[in-house]
Amino acid sequence: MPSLVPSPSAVRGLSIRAFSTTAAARPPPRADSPHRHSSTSSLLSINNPTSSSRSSAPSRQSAHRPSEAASDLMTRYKKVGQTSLRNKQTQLDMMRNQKNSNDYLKQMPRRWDAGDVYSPHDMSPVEMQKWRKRSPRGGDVVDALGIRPLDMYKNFSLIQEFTSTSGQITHSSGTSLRPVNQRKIAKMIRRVQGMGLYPTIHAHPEMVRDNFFPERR
Amino acid sequence: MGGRAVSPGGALLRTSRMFSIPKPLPEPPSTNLHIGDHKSATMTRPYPQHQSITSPLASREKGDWGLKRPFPLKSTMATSTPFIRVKQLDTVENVTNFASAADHSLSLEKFQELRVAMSVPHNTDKKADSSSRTELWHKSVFEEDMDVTDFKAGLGDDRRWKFQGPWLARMTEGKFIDYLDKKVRPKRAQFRALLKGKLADDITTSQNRAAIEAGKEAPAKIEAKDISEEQFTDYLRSLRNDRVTLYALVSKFLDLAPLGQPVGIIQTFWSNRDSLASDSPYGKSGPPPSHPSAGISYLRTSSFMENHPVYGPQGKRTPALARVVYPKAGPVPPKLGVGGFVADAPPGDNEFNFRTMTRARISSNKTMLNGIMHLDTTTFGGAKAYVEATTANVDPSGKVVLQLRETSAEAQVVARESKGLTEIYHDGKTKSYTPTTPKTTGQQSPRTTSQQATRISDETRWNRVADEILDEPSRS
Repeated sequence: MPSLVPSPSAVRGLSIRAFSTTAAARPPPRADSPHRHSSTSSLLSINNPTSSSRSSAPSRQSAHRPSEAASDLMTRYKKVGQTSLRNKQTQLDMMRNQKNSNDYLKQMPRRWDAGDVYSPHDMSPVEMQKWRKRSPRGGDVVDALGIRPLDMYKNFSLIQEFTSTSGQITHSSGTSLRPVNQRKIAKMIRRVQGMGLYPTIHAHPEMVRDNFFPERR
Repeated sequence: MGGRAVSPGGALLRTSRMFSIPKPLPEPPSTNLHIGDHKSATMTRPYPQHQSITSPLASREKGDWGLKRPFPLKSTMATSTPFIRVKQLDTVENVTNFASAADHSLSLEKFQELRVAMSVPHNTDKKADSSSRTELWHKSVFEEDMDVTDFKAGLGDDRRWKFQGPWLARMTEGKFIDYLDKKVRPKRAQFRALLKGKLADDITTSQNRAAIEAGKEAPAKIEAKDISEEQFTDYLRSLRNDRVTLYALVSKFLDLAPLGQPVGIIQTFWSNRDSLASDSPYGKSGPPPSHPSAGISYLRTSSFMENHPVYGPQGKRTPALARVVYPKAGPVPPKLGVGGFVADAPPGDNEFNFRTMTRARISSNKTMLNGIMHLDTTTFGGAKAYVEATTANVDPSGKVVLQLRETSAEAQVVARESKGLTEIYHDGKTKSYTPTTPKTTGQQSPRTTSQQATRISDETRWNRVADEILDEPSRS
């Protein structure tokens, strides 16, 4: 008759069997390597008398020689100092390069765009100087923007574009407007000055203030 | 049957250089309004405006350029690049106004040496599901389905590069108002007739569908003249609220150049409509002002392998030496000049880009090129680097924009050797493939023998094993 209670041998077998079927995790390789003399390895192997006697022997030796420890300390400090010095040197080099580069780039005011074509002539200083100043406007602004000049009498920035700093209307050679638009602009400026909205002998105070306090813009 | 015989006068005009000079192209528009203020009158333009003329040496010595009057020998003979552009054939001073055209002529020559195939602009934010495989490659501008100019509703119509209407995105406000007044308003009646026809078609199809579902006879077809005024007004009102459909209709009617698709929720509505913008490669970048090849290169593809006479087929194409024209300035990438064309430095993890490391400090990357972060003031002639020009396309302002890619170290060495700057090829036996004699292998350290072991034949390996065994007592 088969017994319902398992036999003691079977129970013993069960108790012996590993808790998990997966293989037991191996200890990390550095823990059992005898060549390593780190503090953690010696601490980990405190309980192990044989390994501790073997592994801690050199460390005890070094502790017994204070001059060696001091020299170790010194070399480490020197190394740290050297690396920081090197870092500082590279920083200085970078800043010097930056300044040098900026100084030279001031002489190259052209901002290149992808698709520009250049010939040797375009790299010359003569050509580069031409990019420094603003070129006169080519086309008719009023036509391009599609605005009605007579409606722009409250737009002081626009009026400033078409008047001198002493409040005079700019000639059509300076504005590059076609005669129709030049007449309209001139009429608008005459009106706004006659109304007393825009000064006749100096630039508008709002615009003058912008010269002195540009961050207000 | 040859060509029709032309009159002597006609033949004279045909062969005349004076009459074959085309009208100059307009001044390139300044794309950036802010920077457009700063420019030079004597700079090299992004594209040539005048025809470049040359003459054979024998004629040049006489000052004969095939034009109205002989040219001064002092200026035309003292150059190694005899190209001129004629700005004005006749001036009030009775002289011909001309200048050297060497800049664009040599740029063209250099560009053709790069062997770059022109491609349509790459649409980066294209939906992944639609034609995703073809988006991986650059498509040539000479593909038959895209290289069409004639305006007819049919296949390939939406992939054209030329359109009757303007590109609204780069019109100034004044020009736009002008366009509305002069071109669009007169076509009102025509567009209303078109809409009426479309409404009639819509009603007919919906009636037919309803009849089929109900199982009845199809009712009579509705004509445009049957539609009442109220019906049409209602339709117009509904169209005004359906901007996507209206835009598709208008752009098809006026044949407008495609505009970029809106991003966001509208895109989902947009995707299932038939609009011009959905498929056009120029929707995002804008249509080119000329043929998308700009006539600068007629190559169909750059997918070929170059063969080196000694080293065999090359994985990378011959790289070109690029000049660092301008270093990195803030977010603007560094500009490289390849064959006289300015291009953005190749993107990605390479010597033209710097990376910030984890601790927010600038990496002192040894491999980075010298002139990228700062202007290189130590190298004679400025910093240069080898790059590979993959493709180029024409942007709406007519510029030829090169796309660059980093090249491999091997390709650079081979390119330098072909110029005679380095010497890597030698006729001697290559070390790794020579079976070493047993005598020498016996004396070699075990490390080097183990490294070479994989390459040497079995016989030598067996010999060496025997040597190791035999030498063991003598060495110890």
